[in-house]
Amino acid sequence: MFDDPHGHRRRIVTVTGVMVGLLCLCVLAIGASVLYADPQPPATHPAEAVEAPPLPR
Amino acid sequence: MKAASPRGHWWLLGGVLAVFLSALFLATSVLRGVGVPSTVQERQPGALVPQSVSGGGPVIDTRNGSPVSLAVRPGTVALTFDDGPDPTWTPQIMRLLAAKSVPATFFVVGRHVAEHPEIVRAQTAAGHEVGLHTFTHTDLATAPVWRIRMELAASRAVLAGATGTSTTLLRPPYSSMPDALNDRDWHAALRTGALGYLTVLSTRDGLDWEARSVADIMRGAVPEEGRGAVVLLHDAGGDRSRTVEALGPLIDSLKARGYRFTTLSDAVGLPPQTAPVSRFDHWYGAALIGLVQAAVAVPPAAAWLLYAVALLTAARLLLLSAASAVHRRHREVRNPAGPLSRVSAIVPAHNEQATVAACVRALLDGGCPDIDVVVVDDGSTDGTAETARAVADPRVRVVTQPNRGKPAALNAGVGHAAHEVIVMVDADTVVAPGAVARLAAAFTDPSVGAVAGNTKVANREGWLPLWQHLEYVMSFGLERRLFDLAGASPTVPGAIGAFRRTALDSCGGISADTLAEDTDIAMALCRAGWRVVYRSDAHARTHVPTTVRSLWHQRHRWAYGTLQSIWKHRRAVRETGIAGRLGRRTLPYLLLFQLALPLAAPLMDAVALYGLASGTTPVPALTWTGFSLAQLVLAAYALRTDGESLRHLWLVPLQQTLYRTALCLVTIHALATAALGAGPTWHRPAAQKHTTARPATPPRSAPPAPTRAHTAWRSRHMAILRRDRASGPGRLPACSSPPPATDRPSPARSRSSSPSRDQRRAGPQT
Repeated sequence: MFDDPHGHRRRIVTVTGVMVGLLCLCVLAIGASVLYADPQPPATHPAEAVEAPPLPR
Repeated sequence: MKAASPRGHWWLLGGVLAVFLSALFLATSVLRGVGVPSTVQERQPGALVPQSVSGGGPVIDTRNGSPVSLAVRPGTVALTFDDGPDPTWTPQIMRLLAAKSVPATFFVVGRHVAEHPEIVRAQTAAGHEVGLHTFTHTDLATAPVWRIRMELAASRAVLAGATGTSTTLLRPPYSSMPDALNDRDWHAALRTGALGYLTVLSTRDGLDWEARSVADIMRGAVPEEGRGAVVLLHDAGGDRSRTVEALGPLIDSLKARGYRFTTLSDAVGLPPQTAPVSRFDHWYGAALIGLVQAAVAVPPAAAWLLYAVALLTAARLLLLSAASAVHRRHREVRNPAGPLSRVSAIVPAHNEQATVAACVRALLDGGCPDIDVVVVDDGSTDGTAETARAVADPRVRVVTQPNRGKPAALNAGVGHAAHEVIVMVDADTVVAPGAVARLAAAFTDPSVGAVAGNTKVANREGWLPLWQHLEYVMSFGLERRLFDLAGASPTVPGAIGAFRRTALDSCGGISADTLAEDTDIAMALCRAGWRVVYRSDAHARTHVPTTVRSLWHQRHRWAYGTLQSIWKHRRAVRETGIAGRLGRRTLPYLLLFQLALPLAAPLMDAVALYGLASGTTPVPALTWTGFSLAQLVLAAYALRTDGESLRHLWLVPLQQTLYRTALCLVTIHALATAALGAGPTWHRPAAQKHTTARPATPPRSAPPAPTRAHTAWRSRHMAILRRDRASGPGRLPACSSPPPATDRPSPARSRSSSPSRDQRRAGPQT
């Protein structure tokens, strides 16, 4: 009962377990990466008071 | 050959628990109000704030070191909405703005962006401008530098994930007008400026967050005649119905006065302050959005799971209590009725030299003077057989055989037993006086195929045996009463149980298909239509494991064997009679309370511990306390019902936490080993005085030479199983059906295939 003579079930369960484990690691890594993420926005236009055309009404 | 015991599932369980707890922390602590409102000090102009800033415009640029203050162009109004997006109010505001053809600027909170990214995408698509308002609405004036960096990084990331763009516009939470900046606000503006952000304040405040009237909101939002303005309103964070009501009239009123509506950056003469992000930033932001959405879903899901577990556990407690009361009133028979059947007792033993003599003597005093005791020495090496022979009673016979495991030993004993009623007792068990007679008395009912006795713990020294004592009384004792009432008991304990020979033969004897042969044979008997009953007054004391390691191995075997038995007899769900009761009452109970609930236990314990440690909600702690009290009451009732002392009641709370959690882990381990095909073997403890351990089963490549009797019963059993599988659903296996109540039982076994009485007395054939 429950024997797995050819190892097929063991392979499926192991692969599934590894994928779930990697998913957990990815989730934890993404969550923790916020502590080290870059807060600076990409460079935009310089802060110059230029005369921009008015927006259409 | 069996694989080594797997360990990977523990890492997996640890990873899942870490993710679960992190999600709880994120959802309950980080996202729900860590940003404390800045009420510490009055917002007065600070001495360090430059005059050009405090007296200047609402946009402050500190990115290049020297601060630049940008004013709003005359006749221009920039409507700004903070704290969104909100699924209720933001769409209403956006519809109104679209109807009036008015662009606006939305300063969004990062966690809301993560919860509703589609609204932010709609804002940018509609031509509105989006700025940041931190991730959790944290007061940047009081937050440490690392917190500021994290808030801005997370906000920027989720905005990138939602829209594919980033912005330099930042409105600090709890900010006001330039002349209200204090020193702390100024320092925060310098920090965020160093990170590349423009600090955006306001010049007019509708104060709609104070739930004012529509007229008050309009009065606060309308700028002084001719001057440009940045108007502060809110589209989230409470009931914004008045904001929605006031917005239309406000826009109409300002348009009538000649004002032009535009975005924030255009109002102060800046080019658009958004820029596309890299693909990596976009995907990282999308992943963070997914993470936040999943984390937000965890607390309600955990709450539902907690309620479900609580409901099921409460139902089980009530069921066990009620069943016990009914069983005591209607089923318990205090004294044997009618003439007693002649009884054979089988004692399988492997290296039980220390306990076998006491076991045999107790059987001889069990209330049946004509008892026939067969001790089956299963390849012992410590002189068990000699010790048993030393009892020197003509009613005792000792049979020796090479080590083949307990099922084979039991079957060998059945082959040598002389009578119809067969009691099976473990060699480390001592039956109480009269217990054998009480077991035998149950067979006056011809429909009874087996009787379960009441197992108690003999070695009650130390916490571990005492916890097992409580478990035996509370769980096993009460559950057996419940199963007895349900009409389908799943187990006849190996420590003390009795069988009708006819019933055993109808099921092919004790099977070696599973590691829990006691559960397997009980289920097989139920499927064959025999009743398996419970005699609570037939006591026996057995030795339980005293070390964690040996207990772990024992419970792993039990859990694994139960899984095997459930799987083997799963077709009982579709059968009728006693088999149907087994399949539709007992098996679901076992699956739910011995498999499913233990799987949820680690998560529930994590929720309870997190709730206790963080103090975010008292519900888990209250729930745990409630259940501990309920278990205490049930334990007291069970101990009283079984005639046991209440002296050890104080151990119940610890038993329900530490011990129960360990058993849940054993169940998880059993499921993992079953899934991996790496089932347990018999455990041989190093130096345990009293044990029913067996050595590891021999490798499959070298099976032991079977005896003729062994071959015969196995052939019979396999034939029955093959007919069972071929018959399909809805049919009982090919065993004898229980005889009518008025008829005496007739043996179903074939006389030509089973050993004769002379053959049994001659011993096993080699």
